[in-house]
Amino acid sequence: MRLRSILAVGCVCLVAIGLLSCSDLPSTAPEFPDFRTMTRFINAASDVGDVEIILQPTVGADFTSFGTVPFQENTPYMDIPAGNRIAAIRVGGATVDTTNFSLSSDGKITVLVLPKASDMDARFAVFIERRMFDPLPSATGQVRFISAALDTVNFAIVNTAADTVVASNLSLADKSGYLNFEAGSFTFGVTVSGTDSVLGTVQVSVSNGQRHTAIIFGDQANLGFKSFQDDPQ
Amino acid sequence: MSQKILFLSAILFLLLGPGLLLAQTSGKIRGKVFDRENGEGLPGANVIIKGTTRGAATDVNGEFLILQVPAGLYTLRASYIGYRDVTISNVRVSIDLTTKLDFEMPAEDIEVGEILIVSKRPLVNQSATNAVRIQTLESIEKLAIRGLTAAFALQAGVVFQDGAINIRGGRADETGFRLEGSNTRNIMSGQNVVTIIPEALQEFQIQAGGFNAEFGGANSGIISQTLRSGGDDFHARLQIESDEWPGQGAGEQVLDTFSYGYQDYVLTLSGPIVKDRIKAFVALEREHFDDRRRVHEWSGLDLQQLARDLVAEDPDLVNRNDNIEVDENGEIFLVDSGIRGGRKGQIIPALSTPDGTIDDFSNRKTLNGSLDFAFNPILFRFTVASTFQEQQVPSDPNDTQIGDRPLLTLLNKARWGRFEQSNNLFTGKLTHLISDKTFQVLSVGVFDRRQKKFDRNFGNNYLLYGDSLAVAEVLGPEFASNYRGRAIAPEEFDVFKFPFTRPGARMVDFQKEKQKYISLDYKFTTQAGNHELKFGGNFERWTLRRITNLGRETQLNLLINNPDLARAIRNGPADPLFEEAVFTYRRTGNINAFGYDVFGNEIDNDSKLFDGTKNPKFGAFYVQDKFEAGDLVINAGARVDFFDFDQSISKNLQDPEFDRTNFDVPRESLKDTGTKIEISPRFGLAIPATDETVFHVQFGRFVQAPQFNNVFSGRGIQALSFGAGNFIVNPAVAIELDPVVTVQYEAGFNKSFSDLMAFDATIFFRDVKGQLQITQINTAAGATAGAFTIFQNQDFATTKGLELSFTMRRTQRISTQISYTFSDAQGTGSFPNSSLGAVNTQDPIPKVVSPLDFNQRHRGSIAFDYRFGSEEGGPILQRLGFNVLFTFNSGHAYTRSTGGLGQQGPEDGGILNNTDPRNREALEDIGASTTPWVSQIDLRIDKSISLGPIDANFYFYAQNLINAENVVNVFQRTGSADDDGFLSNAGLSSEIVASGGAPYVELYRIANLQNRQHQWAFNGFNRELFTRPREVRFGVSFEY
Repeated sequence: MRLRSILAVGCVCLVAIGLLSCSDLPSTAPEFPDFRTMTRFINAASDVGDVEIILQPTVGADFTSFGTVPFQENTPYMDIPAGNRIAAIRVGGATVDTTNFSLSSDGKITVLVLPKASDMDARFAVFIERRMFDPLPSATGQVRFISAALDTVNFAIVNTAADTVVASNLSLADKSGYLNFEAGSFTFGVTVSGTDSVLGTVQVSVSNGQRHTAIIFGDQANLGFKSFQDDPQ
Repeated sequence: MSQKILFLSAILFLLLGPGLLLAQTSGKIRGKVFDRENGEGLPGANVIIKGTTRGAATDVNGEFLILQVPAGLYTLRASYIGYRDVTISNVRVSIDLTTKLDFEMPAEDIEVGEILIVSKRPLVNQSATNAVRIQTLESIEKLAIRGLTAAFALQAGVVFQDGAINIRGGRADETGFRLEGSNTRNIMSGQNVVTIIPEALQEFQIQAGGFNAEFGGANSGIISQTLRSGGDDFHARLQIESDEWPGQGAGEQVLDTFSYGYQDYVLTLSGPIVKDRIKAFVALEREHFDDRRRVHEWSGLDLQQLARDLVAEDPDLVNRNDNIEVDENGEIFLVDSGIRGGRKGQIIPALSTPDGTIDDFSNRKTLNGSLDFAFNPILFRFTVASTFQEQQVPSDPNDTQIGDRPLLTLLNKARWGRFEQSNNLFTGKLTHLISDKTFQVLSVGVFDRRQKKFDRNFGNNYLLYGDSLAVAEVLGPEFASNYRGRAIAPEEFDVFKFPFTRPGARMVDFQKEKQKYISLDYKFTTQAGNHELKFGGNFERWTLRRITNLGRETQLNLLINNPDLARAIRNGPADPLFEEAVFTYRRTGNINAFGYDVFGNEIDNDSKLFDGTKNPKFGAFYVQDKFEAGDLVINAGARVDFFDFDQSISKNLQDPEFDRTNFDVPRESLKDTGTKIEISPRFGLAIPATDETVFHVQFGRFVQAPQFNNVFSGRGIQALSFGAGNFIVNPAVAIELDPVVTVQYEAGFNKSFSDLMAFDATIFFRDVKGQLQITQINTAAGATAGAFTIFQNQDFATTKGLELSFTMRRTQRISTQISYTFSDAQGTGSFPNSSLGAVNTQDPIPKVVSPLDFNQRHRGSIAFDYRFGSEEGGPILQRLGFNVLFTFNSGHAYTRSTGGLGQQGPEDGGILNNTDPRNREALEDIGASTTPWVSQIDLRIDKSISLGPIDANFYFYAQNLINAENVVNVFQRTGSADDDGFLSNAGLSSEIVASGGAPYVELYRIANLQNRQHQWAFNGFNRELFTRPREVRFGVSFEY
């Protein structure tokens, strides 16, 4: 009887060992990615002033309002699905300037609400900072310059302390690349490209591993120049 | 996991449930009980099978019949009042055959005590009406082989070539494989997939054609296997086998012989669980190779040493070659030339492989078991055959060929892929013995096959395969550093014009496949006088799923660049972009899917977007009468087969509907094919000429389905075929198919010489029609689809031959088995794609027969066994045995060819291949040349000793004892296995050689001529050029 029990138990164990060796073939697909972005909006729409920004977060979804953003101010970075988004501004309760733009996967993104000279102009411009998994520069700080000035001239940026031009020929929605600066405090001035007359300045305190975006607002007659720290997290 | 538990529970319930059971594939015993003195039959004598509840009483003539006896060894006892009992042991019953057994009863007043007789298995079974070759574990375990496929290959009529079994000149998918009466063939490839541990084998039986109406689904032959059953006594066996001597590691040599890290462990248990009622047998095997390839002439490669040697010969090479640099210490090192897009000047990591072996492991675990219940008149039998196998896949997905070149991917071994498969077959058979002469059998078979190819670093999550972020996280940043973007794979290193895969690159696509079937079989048998009447039917329904080409960088880039599509896939059909996502994703990488959506989720039914499971169904009814009068046997029957291939094909092949935008074939434009019915008569006759000679003749018509690898694909692949205008090797779509039909004639005789020797000879002729053949359909003017290739029933073949076998039972310590086959297999195509070259060049497809690729005109084996008995030879020689196996064949047909280099790179040189014939041009009639003769000697020496109740057997065996370098395939340009006709043909190679110089030539020699990397890549490792080198294995088994 003992041998029979051993045989029976042994058979069951061996069968179990054999069957548990089945290939683990999944019956479902892996979960597909939901690519996201961290996006902020900066209101540079000097033609309309304060605006309410609304956006369709995914295809076919209802629009979401990000609230009213005062001129020359920004929203915080927000988790917005990557992809082709539709955004608009509301001015005085009316939705105007519905615009399509694309937010790239894993992007840290700044979206400028631009001033418009004509109906043909775009109301929004997308500026990629980096992808979320890209490291920030650790040995220096970086500053880039964007023109949101509704003007027919191109602007240049000078490092006033060094009296050097660091960027030039910036027209509406143009940007420079990120420029490396040693940690410290810098004063940047805006000039019309090819001239020396400084139209406005901004003070930027640069730390290693930080990035800043300095934006030219308004126009020659009423120029604003403001720096925003990128991706402070 | 929960699915596994459910599965396991179901199987255990099936195995152990009290209300279910099975009987096995069986034969019958018939004979006579008679008075030894006067020869008169004894009516009413009892004959029982010991250890069972089975038996019979003799009729008025003293004759008895016991039906439905499971194949195996038995002891029978006859008893009659006034006579001594007579017991005959070692009586073997074989599948579907009649074992004759006569009892000579001595009167009680003449003999004292019970008479004990040990039966000898008859060398000739006179009840067979066709050529049947039967082998048991006892007959093959002394041979220097391991595994049943090697044993099949020794039988007359069987050819084993390039990893496939061909019987009597049939294509590889025309051989039927059955275990316990259930199908074990991979319906897609046509190959056997269920592994039987040799120690679990009761017997295998090869019917090389000519089987009776009960059997179907195979045109050239059926290999039937049965598992052992538990006996009356408890038995256990442990066997350990290896090719590593103590202190020897894989890849190291002892006595000029490499070890391949081979280990094999077998454990069996058997015995009664309830005496005479319930018996169990179970066997478990684990087989492991560190190097599964075991190739001749693997010289390995030390890339840096090659550079040093080249510079030693030509110091100026440092200045002329972009790959060779020298550091400040004078050390020579290799850098990337950058011409494949990599970083020029990047240092090539050390690449050094040993000679002899490739570190390319495989593992296989196998479980075989049977459980028998005997509760007369009901018999049950359950069996299980389960195999799990895994191995490495060193291929590079950028290499579009069918095989691999491990030498060129060794730098990226961390990302070599894995191939994994499991095969499970469960059978249950219920036998109801209605009377002594009538029984019915109901059988159920459940088959489950799963396989996948995957990256072991990321498992089933193929989305990570080409993602450098995931690579960095799992393998480290250094493995991702060569990526050119998040999902842009690194280019290969270029060294001397050869591509070496950079570390970190993706190595495999993800693919998975499931095959399942459920079969039902009913059989009613009655013995009416001399007639054994049988009728029955069976039904088999398959469920097939497959998805390939997942995990590619292009697909991940599609998602990254179109995140709304990725989100749509994630959200499912409710998302407004889902349909666009499906079509776009399917097109990106040409995903082939059925039974899965294009992302890998299981689905069952066809829909607008997806292809459901393929469900081919096969059914049959048959009637069979086996008339046995004395030694005359007539087997006559007919079989009606039903085939439903479940094809979905375009309603109008001249103008198939085709959505060029989405690369889709609309579901509504497809029609489902109908059921095909075939009627097949079978007739066999065995006529005794003398007591020792039996003639047999046989005629039969046989039908079967083709392999479905050429028939089933998802609609995306069909659309690719319609619209891309690409060269597609296997379009995997066919016109409405009919079954493949074979008509076979066979005649032969068996002759025994005394009780010791037997000889049989059989001639056969087979005519095969309707084999798959590729063709091109030129669409009508104005059709959206362009010309496309498709498979049809067109190839035909004629094979004929002679099979001889000779068996000498052990006498004077010697036993011998000899087999020889002469065959002439000719046809219009060796495999479905054979005509691809003609199709591509718009040449006429062959309409005349020529020698088939697997035609081995002469083939044979001689097994010679010399063995001391248990009472002879003294303590040293007692139970010592020597077995020498000599095998030979005359080579196989091939076609000398030539051609340009086409799109092949310098690393491919002048290799010609079977799958892409565009550069190939025949220099002679198809199949006019033959590869060289092949012969091999294997030796096994073993000795058994008794250790109390345990029997120990120590053994060693050497396969390819003299390490013969047998050529089994050749380069088609030269007919040689050493010269591919590239470097030796300046017209082909001069430009590349002039550009690459001596470094290129040397690396080409090592990679392609010494180590056949281009041959494996283009023609597959199964078409390796040489047989395996010498392997020496030793082991020990302990049997209780």
